[in-house]
Amino acid sequence: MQFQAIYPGSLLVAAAILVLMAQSFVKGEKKLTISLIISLIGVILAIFFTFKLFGVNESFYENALRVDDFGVFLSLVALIGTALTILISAGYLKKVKSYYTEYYALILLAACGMVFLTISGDLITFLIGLEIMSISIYILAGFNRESKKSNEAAMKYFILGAFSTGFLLFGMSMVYGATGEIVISEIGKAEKSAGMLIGLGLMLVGFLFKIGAVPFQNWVPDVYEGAPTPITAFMAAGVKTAGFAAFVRIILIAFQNCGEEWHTILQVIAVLSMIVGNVVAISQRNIKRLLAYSSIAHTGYMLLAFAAAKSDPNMASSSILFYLFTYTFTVIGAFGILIYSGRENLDDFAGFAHQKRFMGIAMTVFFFSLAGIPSTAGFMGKLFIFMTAIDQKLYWASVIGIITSMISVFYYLRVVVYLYMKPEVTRAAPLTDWNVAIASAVSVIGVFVLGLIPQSVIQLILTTYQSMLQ
Amino acid sequence: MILDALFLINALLAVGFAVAMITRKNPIYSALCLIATFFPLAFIFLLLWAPFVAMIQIMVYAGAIMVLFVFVIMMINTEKQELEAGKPKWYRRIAGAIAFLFVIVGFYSIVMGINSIAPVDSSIKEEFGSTAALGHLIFDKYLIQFELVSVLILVAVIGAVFLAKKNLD
Amino acid sequence: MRESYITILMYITFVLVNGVIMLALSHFFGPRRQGRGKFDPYECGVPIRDEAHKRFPVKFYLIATLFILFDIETVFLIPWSVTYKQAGVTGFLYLLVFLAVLTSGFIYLWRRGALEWD
Repeated sequence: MQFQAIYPGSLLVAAAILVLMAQSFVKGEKKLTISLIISLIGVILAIFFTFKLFGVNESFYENALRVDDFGVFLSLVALIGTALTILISAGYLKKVKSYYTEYYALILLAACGMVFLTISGDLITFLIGLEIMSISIYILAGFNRESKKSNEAAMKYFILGAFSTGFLLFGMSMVYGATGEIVISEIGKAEKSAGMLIGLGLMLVGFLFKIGAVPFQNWVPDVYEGAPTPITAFMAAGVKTAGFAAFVRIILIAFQNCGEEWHTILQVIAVLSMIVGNVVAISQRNIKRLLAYSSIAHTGYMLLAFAAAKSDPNMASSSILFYLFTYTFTVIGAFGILIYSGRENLDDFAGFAHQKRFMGIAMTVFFFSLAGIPSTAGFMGKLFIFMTAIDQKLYWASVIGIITSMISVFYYLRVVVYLYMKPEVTRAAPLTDWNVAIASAVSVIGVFVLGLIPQSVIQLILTTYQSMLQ
Repeated sequence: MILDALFLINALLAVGFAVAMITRKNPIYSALCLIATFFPLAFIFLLLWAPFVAMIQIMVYAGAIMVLFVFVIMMINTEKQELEAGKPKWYRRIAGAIAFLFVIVGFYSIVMGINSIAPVDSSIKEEFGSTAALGHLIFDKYLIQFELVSVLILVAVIGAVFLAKKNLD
Repeated sequence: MRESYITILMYITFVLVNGVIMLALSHFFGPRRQGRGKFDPYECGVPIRDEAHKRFPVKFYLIATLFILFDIETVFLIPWSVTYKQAGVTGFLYLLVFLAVLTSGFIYLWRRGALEWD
C-alpha cells in the first residue's frame, strides 16, 4: 500500500486546488466561508490519515518517503498547528477585511510541504518539501499587499531564505559528492570524510537559518513583526516544527558518524540563542517582536537538547518532539489572542483582562506556559529538555539555560501584570469571532493536558527514535 | 585527450565569466557575464554526456531566467550613484576573509579527498545522461519528487500572480 | 551515439569561427566615419526622446515569471515524450496528475486576470 503514505499530502493539495477554484468561480464574500470550510475539512482529513500511519515504519517510493513514528508524529504536530492557524486566520481576515482566499490555499500548500518535509526519506524530497513550504510562507508574509512592513518582511525573508536554501543545496551536493547517495539512511552508513564535513557545515547553516538560531537570527524579529499575525503564529509553530523534523532526521541519521563535530557547534549555538533571545526580549514593547525573540530563545532550548544527542539520541529527539508539541499550542494560542484583541503593543494591553475575562485568562495561561510555570505544558517541555541536557553532562549550557529562562519569566510575567494590574485604557472593542475563540480554547486545553497528564504522549514519543532507525 | 582539453577550456571560461560577473559594477554587465557563464557550463554538461541538462541550461537559464534578471535590473534601475559601493565596513572584511578561508579549506580538502569521492563512473552507461534515461528515472524512481515539483510550480504561480498583479479585485 | 556529438561540435566551431571572421573582416576593412549621429541608439530614423535607462512596469515581470514557470513544465514533459512507450498507461496517468495540478494553477491565474494587460 504505497498510496497511504501520500494520502495526507495529496489531500492537502486537493483542498488547496478546491480553494483556488472557489476563488476563481465564486463571487463575493461567500468564497471566504467556503474556503474556510474546505481548508478545515482538508486539514482534518489529513490529520486523520496521518494518524493512521502510526506504526507503519516503512520506506515508500524507492526510499523517497520514510514513514516512521518520528515523522508521523511531527506531521501531526505541524497539521494541528495548521488547523489552529486556519481558525485564527478566519478571524484575522475578517478583521482586516481581506477577501483574498489565496491565503487558505497557500496555508494548505505550506502544510503539504511540511508533511513531505517531515517524512522525507531522501534529500530531493526533503529539498522540494522545504521549498514548497518556504515559498508559500514567503508569499504569506507579504500578504498585506498595502502594508509596507508586510512587504518588507516578505522581501527580507525571501532573499535571506533563498540564500540559506543555497547553502543547504550546496551542502547536499557536497554530501552527494562524498557518498554518492541521496537516501538519508544510506548516507549514514558512509564513513566520515572531508566532503561530508563540508556538507555538514553548509547544511547546518541552512537549517539554523530556517529555525532561527543565533548567528542567523536577524531576520526573525522583522519578519515576525511585519507578517500578518496568524502567519507569524504559523511560522513560529509549523515552520519550526517541520524545520526541526528534517534537521533532527538528517543530522541524527545521515551525519551519525560526524557526531563529534556537530555536538560542539550546536552546544555553542544553543547557549547563544538562549542568551540573545531572552536578553533582547526584555526591552521589547511590541508583543509580536517580544514573541519573535522568545522564539529564538525557544529554538535555543531545543538545540540544547539536540547537543545532548551524541550520547543519548533517543532522549534528545524525544524531548525536542515533546517541546515542539507544547510550543505549537502555546504560541498559536498567544498569537490568537493578539488577533482577538486587535492590539500589538504592551501598553495597549493594560487592563485587557478586565475587559474580556476569558481571553485574559487564556492569555495568562499561554504566557505562563511560555515562561515554564509548573502545571502548564511549557514547564513539562523545559523539564524534559533540561533533564536530558544534565543527564548528558552539559552542565554549563544547562546552567545558562536555566538562568536565561528565569530572565524570561520576567518579561512574560510583565505582560500578565499589564493584563491585570494596570488601569484599563479604553480601546476599540475586540472582535468577537468564534473561530479564534475555538482555537484559543483548544490551545488552552492542549496546554493543560500536556502540562498535567503528559504520560501517554511521552510514552508514544519515547519510541519514535527507534522507529527512525528500523 | 581532446575531451580533457575541451573541458579545461570551458571550465576556465565559466570560472572567468563568473568572476567577471561578481566584479562588475554595472548590473547589466553582470547579467551579461552570467549568460556567458551558462554557455560553457552547458558545454560541460554535454561533455558529461548529458544533452538534456545542457539543453535546459540554455533554454531555461540562459533564456528564461536571464530575462527575469534583466527585467529586475531594469525595474529597480535607480540613480547611478547608488551602484557605487562605499568603502567596505570592517565586518564585511572579516566576512570576506572567512569566506576566502572557507574556499581555501574546501579546495584543499576536495583535492586531498579526491580519492574518497565515491566512484560513480563504474555505474555510468552510455545512455546515462540521455533524455530517455531521465524519463525512466522520473516515472520510476523519482515519481514522488516529480509530482511534488508540480505543487512547487503551483505555489510559484500563486505567488507571482498574487504579489505582482497590480489590481486584484 | 557519442559520435553524433562530433557533428554538433563541428557545427559550434563553425559558427564561432564564422562569427569571429565576419567581425574581424569588418573591423579591418570597413570604413570608419565619425559623425554627430554616430552614438545615437538609432543612427537613422526617429530621434531619441529620453534616456534608455527607464524603469520597467512590473507587468512585464509578471508575464516573464509565468512564462518561466510554464517553461519548466515543458522541461518535464520532454523526458516523458521520449519514453512514453515504456512509461505506458501508468506513466501517462502520473503525467496527468502533474498536469492537473498545473492546470488548476493556470485556471486560477486566468480567472484572476493575470493574463490581462490593464
